[in-house]
Amino acid sequence: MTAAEMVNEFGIRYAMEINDSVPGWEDDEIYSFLNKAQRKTVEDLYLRRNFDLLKELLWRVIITGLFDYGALAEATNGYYFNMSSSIPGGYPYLYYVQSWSRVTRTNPTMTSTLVKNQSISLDNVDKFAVTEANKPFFLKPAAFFDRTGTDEIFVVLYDYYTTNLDRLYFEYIREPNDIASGVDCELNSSLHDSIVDLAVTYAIETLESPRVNTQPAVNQDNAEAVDANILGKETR
Amino acid sequence: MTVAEMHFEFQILLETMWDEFKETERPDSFTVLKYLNLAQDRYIKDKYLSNPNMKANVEMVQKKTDDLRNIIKRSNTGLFATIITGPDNKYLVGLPSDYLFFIRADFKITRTDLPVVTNAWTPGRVTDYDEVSKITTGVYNIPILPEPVIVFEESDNMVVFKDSYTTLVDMETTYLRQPYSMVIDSAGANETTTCELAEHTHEEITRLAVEMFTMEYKFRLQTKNSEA
Repeated sequence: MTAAEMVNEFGIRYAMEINDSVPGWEDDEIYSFLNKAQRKTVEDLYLRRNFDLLKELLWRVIITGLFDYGALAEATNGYYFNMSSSIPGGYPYLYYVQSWSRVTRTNPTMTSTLVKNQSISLDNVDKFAVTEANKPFFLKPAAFFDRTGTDEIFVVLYDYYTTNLDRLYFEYIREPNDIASGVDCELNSSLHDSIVDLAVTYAIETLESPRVNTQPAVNQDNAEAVDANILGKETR
Repeated sequence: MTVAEMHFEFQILLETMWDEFKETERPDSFTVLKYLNLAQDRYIKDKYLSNPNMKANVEMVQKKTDDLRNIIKRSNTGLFATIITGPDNKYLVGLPSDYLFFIRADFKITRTDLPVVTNAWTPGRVTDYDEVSKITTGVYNIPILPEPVIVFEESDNMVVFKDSYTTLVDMETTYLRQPYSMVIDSAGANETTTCELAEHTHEEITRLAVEMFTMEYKFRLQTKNSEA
């Protein structure tokens, strides 16, 4: 579906759900619902952690960025880069998918072999760090995110037997382009239908939202309070 | 297998047993080495030194010298110097600091009779403690001992008995020394980067180490659960 077709489809489905006395939505508002639905769809798919499905449905927004490890900051048995300042590929980053490293090591011997990084939890980093008491063995470099303040640092650790990491392949989901007039949805067309459905649901929820329903009353109360305040001041 | 290879084997065995050992419960290399060293000691004890008496253990060690050849040590340096002359033809010999288990001892002796020899080497004989009264020279017992007899009487000493016709000139002991501590690299004194027992035992030692680790882990887990 093109963006215009999605808007049309939204109108039809919305009309089926809502009686005629309720006013419709402007195109900008419909795009806002569609974009919200698009983001939610990406998030739900990501949380299912099914990489095959992700690749199938979101391939247009999955980016593989390359980094030469030599250009990265070096930590003890590891490398890192700050996601806030240098995203490989340069797109707005949304979710991490996976990463690969080119590894040279002994036990077993590998020379510039592409190995998928394993994701580890920040809690367990000490088990993978090389120290006096720990000379760890793991074939897959260990990757994790360390978030502090405004920085989001992506770190890759290698084991005691790895002699060199020369390249990082960083795969992530970028933010899909906002659906707008002339800008179609980038997700797989099989998702468009459900995105429109979800957008309609959001629109209906907005109508039913107490915030929307109480807004005029609240405004009126505020106005009355302001009036009272002004009058009070004048009386004094 | 090098110690590093045993470390990999240990880690891989653990990971195939339970996914938690991949990350959350992953042991550090210090812990792995601790269990590998413990397993090596236990393996030696269970496999070669578990017989009910010393004689049987000596025989077992002699049969399995191929497995243990790297930790069999022959030494006379200092041994004879430490011999303390005792009464009644009894001598106390201090054991080397790296001693683990006795295999054999040879003595250079000079005898004045039965038979007459001068500076000849002869193997010593190990006996049990209950024979001590028969080989001790005393007022009512003057034994004839063609070869010196060894009894293990104190923790870091062996007692050598000889008869009145013998003079001890020198002594050479063959024994099982304590295996060096296994380390991954940068081996210092009394450390090694390759397990010293025969290659075919390495797999078994690693499995034993994993078994010991998981047993302790289960115990810790049970304790933790019961506390919770």
